[in-house]
Amino acid sequence: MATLTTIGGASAVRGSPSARRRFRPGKLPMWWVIPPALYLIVFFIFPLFDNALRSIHPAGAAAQWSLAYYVKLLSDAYYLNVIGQTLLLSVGVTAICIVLGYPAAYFLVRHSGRWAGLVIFLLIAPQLTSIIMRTFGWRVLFARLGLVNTALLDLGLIDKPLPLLQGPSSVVIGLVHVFVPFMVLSIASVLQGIDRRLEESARILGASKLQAFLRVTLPLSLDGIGTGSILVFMLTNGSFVTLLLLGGGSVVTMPVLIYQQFSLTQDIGLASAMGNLLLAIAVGCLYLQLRLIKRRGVRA
Amino acid sequence: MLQRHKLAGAAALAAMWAILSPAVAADLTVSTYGGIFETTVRECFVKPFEAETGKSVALVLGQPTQWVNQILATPASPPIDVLISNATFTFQARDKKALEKFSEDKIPNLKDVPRPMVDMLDGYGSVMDFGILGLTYDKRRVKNPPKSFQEFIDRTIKGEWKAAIPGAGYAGMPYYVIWGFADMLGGGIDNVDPAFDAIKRMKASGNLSFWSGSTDFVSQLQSGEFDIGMFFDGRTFASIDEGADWLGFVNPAPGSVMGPTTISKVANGSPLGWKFIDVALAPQPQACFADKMQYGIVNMKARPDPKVAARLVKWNETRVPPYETIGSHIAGWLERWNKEIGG
Amino acid sequence: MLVFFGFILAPIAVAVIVSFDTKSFPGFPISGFTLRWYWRVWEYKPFIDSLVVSIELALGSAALACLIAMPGALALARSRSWSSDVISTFLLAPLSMPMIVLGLAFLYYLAALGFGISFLSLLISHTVISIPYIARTVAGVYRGLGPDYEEAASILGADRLRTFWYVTLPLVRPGIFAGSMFATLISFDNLPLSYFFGSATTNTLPVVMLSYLEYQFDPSVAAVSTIQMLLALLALLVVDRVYGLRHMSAPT
Repeated sequence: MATLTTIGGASAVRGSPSARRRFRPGKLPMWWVIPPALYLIVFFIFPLFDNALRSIHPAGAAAQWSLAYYVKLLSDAYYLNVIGQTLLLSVGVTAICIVLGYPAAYFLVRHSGRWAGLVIFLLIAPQLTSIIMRTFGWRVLFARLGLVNTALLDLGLIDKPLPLLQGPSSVVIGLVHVFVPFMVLSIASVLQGIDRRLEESARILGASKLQAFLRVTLPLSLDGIGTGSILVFMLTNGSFVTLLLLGGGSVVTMPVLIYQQFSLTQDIGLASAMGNLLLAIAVGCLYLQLRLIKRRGVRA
Repeated sequence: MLQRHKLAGAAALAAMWAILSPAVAADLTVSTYGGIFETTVRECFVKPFEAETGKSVALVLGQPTQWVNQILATPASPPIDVLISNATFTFQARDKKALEKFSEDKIPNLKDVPRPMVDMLDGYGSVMDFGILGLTYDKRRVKNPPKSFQEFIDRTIKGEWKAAIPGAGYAGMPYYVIWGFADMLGGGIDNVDPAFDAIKRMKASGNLSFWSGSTDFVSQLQSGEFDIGMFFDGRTFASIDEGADWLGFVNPAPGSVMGPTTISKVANGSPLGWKFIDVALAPQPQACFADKMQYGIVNMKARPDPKVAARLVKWNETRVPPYETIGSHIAGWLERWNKEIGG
Repeated sequence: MLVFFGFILAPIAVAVIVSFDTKSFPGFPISGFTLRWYWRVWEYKPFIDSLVVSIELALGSAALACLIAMPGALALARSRSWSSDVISTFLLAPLSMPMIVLGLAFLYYLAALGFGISFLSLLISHTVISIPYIARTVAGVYRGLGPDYEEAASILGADRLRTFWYVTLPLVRPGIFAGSMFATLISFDNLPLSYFFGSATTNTLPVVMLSYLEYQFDPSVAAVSTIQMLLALLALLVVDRVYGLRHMSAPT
């Protein structure tokens, strides 16, 4: 496997001089996008369309009835606020993941060496632990009479237990905990492709370590940050179990409301409308994000 | 490269094997919750049923949302013959004409089941067992538990303890909390203001939190997140028997709200389903169920273990929400809850 | 770094410790050491059966998504046109649809197509949510690399297929690795899609776990989590032995 590097590949290529026609290297045929696009049209768009039709149909009333859902969602201050909270939470969690994840990714690529396997394992461990047990773990640590509060009380640093588990902070902690690995591995996979000699050259040319990092490595790894941000943003946008279990209702986002419709009211029409709205908003953000990364990336 | 092929090949083979492996062919498929509930259903219902009929039963573990939608997706050949679920989903399935009506000639043991247990489901099923959402507390921190829900509300506001009630993350919340409070505070299905008022005052006192999953209630009580809260009888008793002797439970006046587990016959499902339901409602299996789960049962001739019988709540010591008509109110209540309480 | 990994590990360590507790309702600190809950997991057939289904499904859907999405992602990565941005966005769209909505839609749609409640339905639906991860990570890595290597190969006389096989594919390996890992994990942890297709033979572990928790909460849930982590550790060790993780995650 180790021989299958570019060098090994090139030598294998050299053995066959009969290249019949030239092609534009690095440019792959666009028809390759057909399989995934087709798959998603048949197994993503069609089912959702089918769902939308079904949520209108059984009620008997016409399409205007389901439009009423959208009008309600977009005109009621409460729902607008929830949409705002959803986006705010997603952006916040993404930002924290970048700040925490970048150093971890840098460490993984540059310093972990033979321990890379262990580091990767540590990173994916949260995903492998049932959400129930993760929540339980946080509770043990941060509950009113939990380990952290008890320790602080014993040390005399506080005289009343801190409400660590109340409010949005516990939700943010919980979400960052599960999603930061997506950021780390996304950044790491790009960092690995960056030739370390570029950084060294910059150093030789007189740049400080920090400058070399800021001017060379960071811009080159922007694609990794982009990938990680998109994944974390979208994942936060769609998560609700952590919010339910850790937030105790203090943070209400669109997915939480959608879940309520499913479990409490069976109002699938409203749930679908909220789902579609969330999809539209997220896709809009995504498109902007992609354009932004591309433009930056090209310049860098 | 070769190795990667091998790996991909192995994955593909594994996938193919799983696709092609034949489904277990059972004569009857019954839905059930997992864990202790499943082992109890197996032991108390499936065993006598299989012994008597010689037919086999497959159990599908999961949740009501899953089962009811699976039935509704292929109503002509439903993947489930007997639906064990809850009142809300029984009515959802009934509304889509996916259930058959009960009668005594199909289920002889129905004669020992109080009429309201069948009537509350409009005849499209029967209560099989029920839990109540009473008050579970830590005896070490709550010496003198409240005797009524009114007292629970007042003393929470006074700050005698930290209390917990189900929030909007828990599917039963509108029944147990909104209806339950409204009903005892002089309101009702058409007037839930008293409930919202009480909860708002409890929340404003800073002594109220909301739980969303029933799983770790006892752990949270132990870790001191709260001292007393609305919780299920059977689960509390089970925890006490497992060593949590510091737990106490009361069914305060005017009676806790009943949360029934229901059993129904799916339309177009195997007619063997009737026999299974008859077995599940018979005296002996019902007593067996109560002994293991410590939840209330519905066959009046059942004789559970005396120790269990002393704990069991009787159906007429509970309050039953109007499950048939409540459904249309829930969307409005929930929206109001989100806007005014948000827990 | 220590703080970072401490943060990652703290709640998980609690879960691992609790899995050895003698008490039957999880609490901290634990009151004794026992392997009883591991025995319970082994004894309770649905746990093991569903674990097998979950593993097959996670690996199967990740492999399928790789086959479907990777070529497209490569083709899109270097294109700067407006339309390719739209398609890239489209390939990521399944990420943002709340999965419970998606699961319900899949159930009725696939039932109407005759797939019903089967492993195939699970595989199809999980592949939909795996595609975005593969597409994005592969594209991200590929865009970070210049076209130099491929140009070199072409100058040396390689045709398109050979260039792709011997140059491009090894270069994007870290992307494939990261993407497949994400896809596997996401599938493994998934509840809202899986549970609509649950039956006696197709229930996945999270579905069984949720159903188990309906009436009890004992440390066997923690034991299951611990076993999952051990399996993942084992898998990583095997991958490390066979490929070397450094090669897996480094292109040169």
